[in-house]
Amino acid sequence: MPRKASIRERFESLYSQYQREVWALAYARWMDADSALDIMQETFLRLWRQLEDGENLDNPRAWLLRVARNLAEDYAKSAFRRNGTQAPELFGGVAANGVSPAEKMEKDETFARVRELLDELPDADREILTLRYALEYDAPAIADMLGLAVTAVHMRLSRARQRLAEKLSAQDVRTSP
Amino acid sequence: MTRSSPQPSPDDIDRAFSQFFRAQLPARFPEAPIPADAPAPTARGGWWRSRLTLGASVAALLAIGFGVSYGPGVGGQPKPQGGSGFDPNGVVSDGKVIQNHMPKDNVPPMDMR
Repeated sequence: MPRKASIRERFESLYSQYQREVWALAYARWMDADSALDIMQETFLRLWRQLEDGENLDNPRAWLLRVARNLAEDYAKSAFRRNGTQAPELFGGVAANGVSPAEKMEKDETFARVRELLDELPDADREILTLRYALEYDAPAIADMLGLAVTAVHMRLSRARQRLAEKLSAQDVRTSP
Repeated sequence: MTRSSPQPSPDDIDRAFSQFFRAQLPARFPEAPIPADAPAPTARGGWWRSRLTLGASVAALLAIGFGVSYGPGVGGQPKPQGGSGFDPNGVVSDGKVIQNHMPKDNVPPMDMR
C-alpha cells in the first residue's frame, strides 16, 4: 500500500497537469461548462481511489481521458447530472466590459450560431475544437492527445471552420471585430 | 438586423470560435478533489526542521535551568526591572518622590552612652 502523503503529491501533480484536458473532453461531450466540471471532479476522485488502491498507472493521462469519456457518456443517466442543457444565451455569457449593447447582441448571435454548429458536429470534432480554441493547443498537441494523425486534425478543423463560415453568412450574422 | 454580409474571413471564424470557447473555460478551476480523510501534505525537509526545533527547545531549557542554578547567589543585589523600581532614597526611577510610610516611632532609640 503506497504512503498516503506520496499519493497526495502525485495526485495533486496529475490534477494540475490534466484538469483542463479532462474538462475539455467532458465539455466537448455536453457543451456545458458546469457539467464538465462535475465530470472532471468525478474523474479525479476515481483517480484518487485508483492510486490509493496501489494500482499502477503507466499512462495516467490516457487513463484520465478514457475515464472522463466514459463518465461523460454515462452522465445523461447518472444521478449527478443536475442542470441539463442550458439556453444558448447562458453559454455566451461573457462579461461585457466596455461592450455596447449592439456589440453584445451581435456577439450573442454569433455564439448562438457557434453553438448550433457544435451541436451538429460529432463528438470527435467538438473535442478537437475545444482543445484548439479553449486550451489553445496546436494540431500536433491535439493529435498526440487524441491519438490522431496531425493531418486528420487539420482536416477536421478546416471542415468545422468552413461550416461555421457558411452558417454565419447564411444567417447574415457578422462576427464582431 | 439583416444585412448582406460577405462570407466571414478565416480570421473572423477563428475569432468567433476563440471567443466562444474562452467564454466557456472556467476562470478558475476548483481545488483538487481530495477526500477528507487524506493526510495533509508534508513539507520537504519537515523531519529535519522538527528535529532542529526540538534540539533548540531542549538547549533553551537547559540554559534556563543552568542560569537558575548557578546565577546570582546569596548577597547578590537584584536589579530593579522596568521603570518602577524602588530606590532606597524614596525616589522611583521615573523621578517622582514618594512618601516614606515607615513610622518614625518604630525607630529604636539610640544609645548615647
